[in-house]
Amino acid sequence: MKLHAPIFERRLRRRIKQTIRRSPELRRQARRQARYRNRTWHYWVYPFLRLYVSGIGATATVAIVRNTGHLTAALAFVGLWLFALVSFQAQSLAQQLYASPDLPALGLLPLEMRTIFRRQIGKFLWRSTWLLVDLVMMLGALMSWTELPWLKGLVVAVPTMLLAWGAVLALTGLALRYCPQLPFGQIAGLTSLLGIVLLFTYWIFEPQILALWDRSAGTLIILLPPAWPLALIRLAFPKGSPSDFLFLLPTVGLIGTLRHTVRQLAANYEFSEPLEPEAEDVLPETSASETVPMSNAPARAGVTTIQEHVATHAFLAPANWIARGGIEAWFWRWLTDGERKLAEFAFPRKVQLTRRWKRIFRDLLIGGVLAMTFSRINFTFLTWIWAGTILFTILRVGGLFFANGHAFTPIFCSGVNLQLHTVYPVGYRELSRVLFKFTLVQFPCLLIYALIVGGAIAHLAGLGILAGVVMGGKAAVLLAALRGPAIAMAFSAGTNDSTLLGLRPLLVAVFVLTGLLLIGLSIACVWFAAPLLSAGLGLGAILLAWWFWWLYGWFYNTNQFDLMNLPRETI
Amino acid sequence: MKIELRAVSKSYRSIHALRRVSLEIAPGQIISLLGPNGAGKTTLLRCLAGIAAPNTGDIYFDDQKFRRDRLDLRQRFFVLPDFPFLFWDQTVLRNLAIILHLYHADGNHAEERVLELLREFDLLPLALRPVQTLSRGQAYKAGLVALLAVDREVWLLDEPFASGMDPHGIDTFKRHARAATARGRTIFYSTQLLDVAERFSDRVCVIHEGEIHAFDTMNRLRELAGDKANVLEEMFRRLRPASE
Repeated sequence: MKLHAPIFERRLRRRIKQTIRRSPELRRQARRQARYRNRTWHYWVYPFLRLYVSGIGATATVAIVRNTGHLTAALAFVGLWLFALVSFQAQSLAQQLYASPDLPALGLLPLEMRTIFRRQIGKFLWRSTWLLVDLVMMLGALMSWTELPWLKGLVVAVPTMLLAWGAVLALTGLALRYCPQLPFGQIAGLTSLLGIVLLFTYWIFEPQILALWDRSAGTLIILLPPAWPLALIRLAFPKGSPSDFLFLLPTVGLIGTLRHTVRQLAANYEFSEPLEPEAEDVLPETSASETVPMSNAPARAGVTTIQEHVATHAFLAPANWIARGGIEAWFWRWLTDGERKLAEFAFPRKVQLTRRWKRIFRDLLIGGVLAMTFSRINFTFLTWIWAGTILFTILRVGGLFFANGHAFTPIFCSGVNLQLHTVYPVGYRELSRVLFKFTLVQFPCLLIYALIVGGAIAHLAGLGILAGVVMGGKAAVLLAALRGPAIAMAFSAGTNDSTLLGLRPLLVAVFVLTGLLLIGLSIACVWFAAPLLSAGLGLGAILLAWWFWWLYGWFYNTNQFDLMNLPRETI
Repeated sequence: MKIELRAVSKSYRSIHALRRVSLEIAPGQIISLLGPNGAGKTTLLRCLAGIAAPNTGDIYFDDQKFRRDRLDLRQRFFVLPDFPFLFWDQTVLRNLAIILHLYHADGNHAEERVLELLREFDLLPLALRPVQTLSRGQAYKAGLVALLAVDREVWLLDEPFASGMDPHGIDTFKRHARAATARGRTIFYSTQLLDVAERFSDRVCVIHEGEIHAFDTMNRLRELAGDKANVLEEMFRRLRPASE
């Protein structure tokens, strides 16, 4: 769908250029704007970076088939790659449909909602073609390595790629339609982080990972929907079995849901002006049920009641989340008066720590019991159910442990995004102290979690439970130390520190290298068992984390950059 | 509190938003900041608030150099952007409580002040409603009530008269602002409304392409101008590019 008239636009552009050419003043202004546009280098850097990522995938695919000698292992890897990308796709689709910067403007035009929906879906589909680039590179590399005749490869690979692409799109649609509450952004972030960690640590665990992968590949092909069409590739090889055709049935079924899902999304599509339900004018201390004495109509607080609420100083009472649980109470007691005010600012809504940690441990227990039960049917299930449980709980642990509250919420204001704290007297060090304390009160829970998970992973990898427990303990300490850089990054997200610094390339390089060194030291500390070496590496990582936080604070406090940035589309 | 800008420059890549701006603002006056779109008004306010970092030059409050970690100085002014920075899912009262706490203005008689302001700005019946259920003008009034309740020495406001407030709200704000300057408060606001600036300011600061073109009282500007009736309009006409 085109929202513009190309002929009119061309004519208008020509006239504008002519007008500018005639006026020296306008020419000067236009030149200035052109220089500004030319420096937005990150727009054209993205395709190269994305191609680089596809290249990594292709290299890994060939490495797997070379080291295991099994085509299925490589296909399972491609399937897992595509499955991991579902969260990125869902995030991208949600962003296009509900949070694209185009939407406010489109909402003002005389357009039907379905027209806007079609336009946004079209944009999403265009972006999702990167999946095809991944598939071309990964399957192309695989076929090249296995020396498959190109014509035969082409006949099998092209429909397979299209089917795999369709399967990922269908899964994306289903995820957004039926599980919109899933934190797609967080899942995508964690997936990227795991990918980076795996990239740097692959050589340490190579034999174990390859053995586990080779053992599980067959199961993964069945469990991962994007891997179903990939199984058809096996038909092109001598060892391929006609039973591989059976994978076509669930694939077609899955892609068949796409039409229904898109219709459902279109039917419920509403992006503009989310209408809030009428506010409850009930006093915070009064429950809604108490205010409905006889009739069905909710009782509303009148002006006199509100007046009394203000006049009695009740509205200045501390937030009502303090006494919700043991951890919350501990946190509140640990804060000074000034920090309590900042804590209320950072966490204006209720904070649930105790209850959420209890749920994490409950889910860990359920996952453990399920894994043990199903392992009696097939031992591979033990690994994959545990892996799923850990992934599911670790997301929530990360979200809870590194929560920043709402002080960093970006607000669009006069053409730029500003974080909420920027207009109030909130300091870098002061807010950091509150967030550090928020994290440290959760440390005992994190430690217990890390010990359990570390022990379980080590046991499954055949490293011994005790070694895993020690690793878990070290990982917990290092995660607490990473809080400093995480806070610095939260402040950084609302600034233009990476675009406007005078010594930009040097400083960005310093911060990136520090971050990489920090990750490297942390992994080495967790991995090496020798106590002195491990302690030294851990201490190094902690000091580096502190230095990172301190250095960023120095730049922040000495006004080295602006506390605002241009809004941009999230990918 | 005395505000001083010493040769402050600010550029966004190749665009010079402020060029060696030097100003000295004595306490107890209302200053309107005028200028065409993109002249540098908002940038100037953001530099004063510590949001934008000047490339060169310094800002002083009471002869003390301003940095972001000087929270003691930061506590002495209040910034109200054209879009109030509030927690949208929280009630007006909860927002006020959080802001009063942040500025340590929750002591004696805070409740009386808040009650009076809510009543004056017609917000009392809406005080227990989440900000997101209010209209744009009402939400801005909530931000304004916070500013008036906190009552700092310097008020920095971006386009307060284009905020969607009703005439009663604007009148009430003006009345409070006048009373505040009598108490020594400094009010620095940007606007595009020349007639408002003419009537509601002790000094006018005209900025164009990042440079201060005029910083004087209205009477003085009238004395200097040929067309005494339309002094600001005439000044703006002169600022337009010659090509047009």
